[in-house]
Amino acid sequence: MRLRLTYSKRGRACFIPHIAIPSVFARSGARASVPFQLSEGFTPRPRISLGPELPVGIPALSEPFEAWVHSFDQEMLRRWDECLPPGFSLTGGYEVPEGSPGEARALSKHCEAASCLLAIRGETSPSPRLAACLEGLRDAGEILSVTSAFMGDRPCLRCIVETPSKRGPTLLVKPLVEEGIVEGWGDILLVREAVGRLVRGAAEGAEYGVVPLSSPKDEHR
Amino acid sequence: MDFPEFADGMWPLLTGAKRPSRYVGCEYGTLPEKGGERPVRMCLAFPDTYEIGMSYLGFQILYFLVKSLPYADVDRVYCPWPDLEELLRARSLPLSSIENGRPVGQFDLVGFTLQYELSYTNVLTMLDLAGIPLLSEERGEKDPLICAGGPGALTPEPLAPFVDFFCLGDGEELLAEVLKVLSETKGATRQDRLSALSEVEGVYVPAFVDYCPHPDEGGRFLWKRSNKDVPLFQRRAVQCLDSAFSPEMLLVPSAGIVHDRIPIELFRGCTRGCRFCQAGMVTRPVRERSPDSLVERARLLVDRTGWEELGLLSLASCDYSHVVPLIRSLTSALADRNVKISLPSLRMDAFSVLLAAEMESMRRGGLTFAPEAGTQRLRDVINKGVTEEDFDVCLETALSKGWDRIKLYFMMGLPGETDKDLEGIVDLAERAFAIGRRNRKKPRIALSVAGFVPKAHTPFQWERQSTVEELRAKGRFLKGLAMSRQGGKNNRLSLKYHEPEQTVLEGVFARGDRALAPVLLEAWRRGARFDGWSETFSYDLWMDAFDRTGIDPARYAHRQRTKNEGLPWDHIAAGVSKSFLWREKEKADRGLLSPDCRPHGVDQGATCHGCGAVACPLAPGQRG
Repeated sequence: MRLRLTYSKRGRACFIPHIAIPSVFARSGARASVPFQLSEGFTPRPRISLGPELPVGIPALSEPFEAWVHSFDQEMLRRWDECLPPGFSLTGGYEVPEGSPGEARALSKHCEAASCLLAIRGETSPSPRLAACLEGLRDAGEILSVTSAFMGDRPCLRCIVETPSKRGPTLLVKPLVEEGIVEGWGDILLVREAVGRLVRGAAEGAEYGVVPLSSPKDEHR
Repeated sequence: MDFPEFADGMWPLLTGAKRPSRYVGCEYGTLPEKGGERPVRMCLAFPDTYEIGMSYLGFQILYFLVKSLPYADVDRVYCPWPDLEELLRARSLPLSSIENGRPVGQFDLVGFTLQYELSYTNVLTMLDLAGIPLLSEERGEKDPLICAGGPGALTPEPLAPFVDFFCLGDGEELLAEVLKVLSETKGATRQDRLSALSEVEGVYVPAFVDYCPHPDEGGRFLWKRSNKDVPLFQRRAVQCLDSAFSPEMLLVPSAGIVHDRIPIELFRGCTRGCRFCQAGMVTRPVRERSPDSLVERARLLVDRTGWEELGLLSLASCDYSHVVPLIRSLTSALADRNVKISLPSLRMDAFSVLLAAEMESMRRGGLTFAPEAGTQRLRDVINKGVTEEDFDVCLETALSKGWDRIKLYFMMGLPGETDKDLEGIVDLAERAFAIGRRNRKKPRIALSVAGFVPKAHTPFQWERQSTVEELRAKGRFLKGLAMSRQGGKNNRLSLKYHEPEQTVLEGVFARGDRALAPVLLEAWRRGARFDGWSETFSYDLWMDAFDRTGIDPARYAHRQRTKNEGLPWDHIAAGVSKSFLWREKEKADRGLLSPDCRPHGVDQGATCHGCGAVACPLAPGQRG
């Protein structure tokens, strides 16, 4: 059976590269006796596939991935979560129902949009230059929306980007460096809040929202 | 939602560093920092990158050993790559431990492992980044004590001015005793604590010992206080691995490391007696773990770590007395776990190949063997008990079992080597092709040739090492030969040789004395970092450092030493007697073999060669 799951990556774990994540879940799953289905071929490995790539150095709250197992219950999910290394947590998961054509599509098809929070180190609130730069990206069609938001107490900007498998967070950072707003990644505080379904009018005052893939689609409709 | 990670002082540095995953820990299996009665805090320091250091079994053992002691606690640190070093310096941030971010200068004890001579400048980098004075004599009461263990501690003199005390031999008992002494001498002066430590067998405090150069080169070791000759400092060896400390859990990394697997040690020590091999000489006697304890431990570690591979480690795993039943038991015990069992070192014989053929997980990829020398004559000189018949049978078996990629390791510059011996390397590849033709197979043969480094505590410790020019000429000769055979049209044969500059520098420090310490310091000050990595190594920089300190590297590497010359490691009893080493050297000169003294299969083993290994169960009077 196929599971769709979400995880968060916090603290220094954000520097564990995307390419190493399948093994993080495979090993933690093995410790938790998750009954993985194995891939075929010479080196059978647990069948796990990840959502859109997340560059290192970006905390993430709800990244999607899929795993194929022989059986599943919420207790197994709890055990698996306990066996993850520091910084990683499972934040949700469900069995993809068989025979539902919408759900059965590849994971990347379900990742319609990503929502990121962005602020500049050392600035108490987003500068007009930063807002102008991001709005320029929106007007050029690269970003769907730019709105005000908070990271804890810190005012920041929320950017929603469509097709995150093609448009990663680097898209937001490059123009900031080019325009001299920041020197590099070290000056940017960037969080990926969610990757998932694009919804309209989900929250007050916001035209768009992104719903993580931590529970079946129907629950949000 | 708050994001405290952005307040982490290391965050901006990590975003700017190459491979930041090296510095973030994020391992499964770490244990919480201890509070309560203030424990002796030790930082295990590995003078190379994380991915190398995390592949080292020693720190896995020592980490859990120290955690198990009620009076001590432990953390780890690895050497930052030069880019992070620069970032730390630019922001005046100290080097900190990987788990708890404690500045390394705030520990009670920092313990380096010396696995490789070309990592010595990294020791200095780490001390300096921690704000700890490089020279032992300049450290104050608030600075940590600095110790060093591993094979490099058995030739300690090049590092003597930088290290407060050396730990000789197995750490399982020694480190616990050292930490006990430190726990009992809390509040005492550095000097008093070092005095107390010097009473522990296996501890060598270089500041208490004067090294006096001797007229016929080499030197004598005298107690500074009394001017009397020091006794031999004995390497510690645990007697029984089954009863020695062995962890029931391992630290599992989240980012890829070099040997990403569960390391299980089948036995320690080796009596094959290869005359170039330091590990085989300084880890005697052979101590095997029982198969039952290995299977039980392997099962436990597979379940607890989730690692997908189990490596059966030792100096020559096929020599383990119970290797066949062990592999069968492990295969059946782990059948439902999707775990690959691997034998990283295969002997060149049919037995080993048949063993590998039985292991489903070994059947992928190629096979690697180390004949070490190209002719029977030279293999006899180095006591590598591989015959041409072994070679043929091994290749026949490998090809018949379906392997077609074979990698063969050799050395060049071995004592007494001639062009014929070098030609023999390429001849062996041709022999392999001929075997292939007979079996209607077309193997790919990769030859890898490393420059020979004479090591201390081996029968070749008196031999001269080939110069950079000689090694390069040998390498080119071999390359030309490999290219010219079969009209240069054989793309199934490849030959690589190591660039010789690093080999020679390794050779200098492998047999160095205290006079090399200023060279090390000078090279480090001039920017020497990660000398074992070709992308960072600079030979010119090192040659400048030798020039400026007035030290001639050739005196260490390229000089034939005499029997009576004092050697800068004569005060260290590493496991075999000097007279045994000299007898072996003489046998090498005459091309005589010294067969293994262990019983193998139907062969009852040779008689004892009198190597002098302490507590050897096979020595006369102790046998059976």
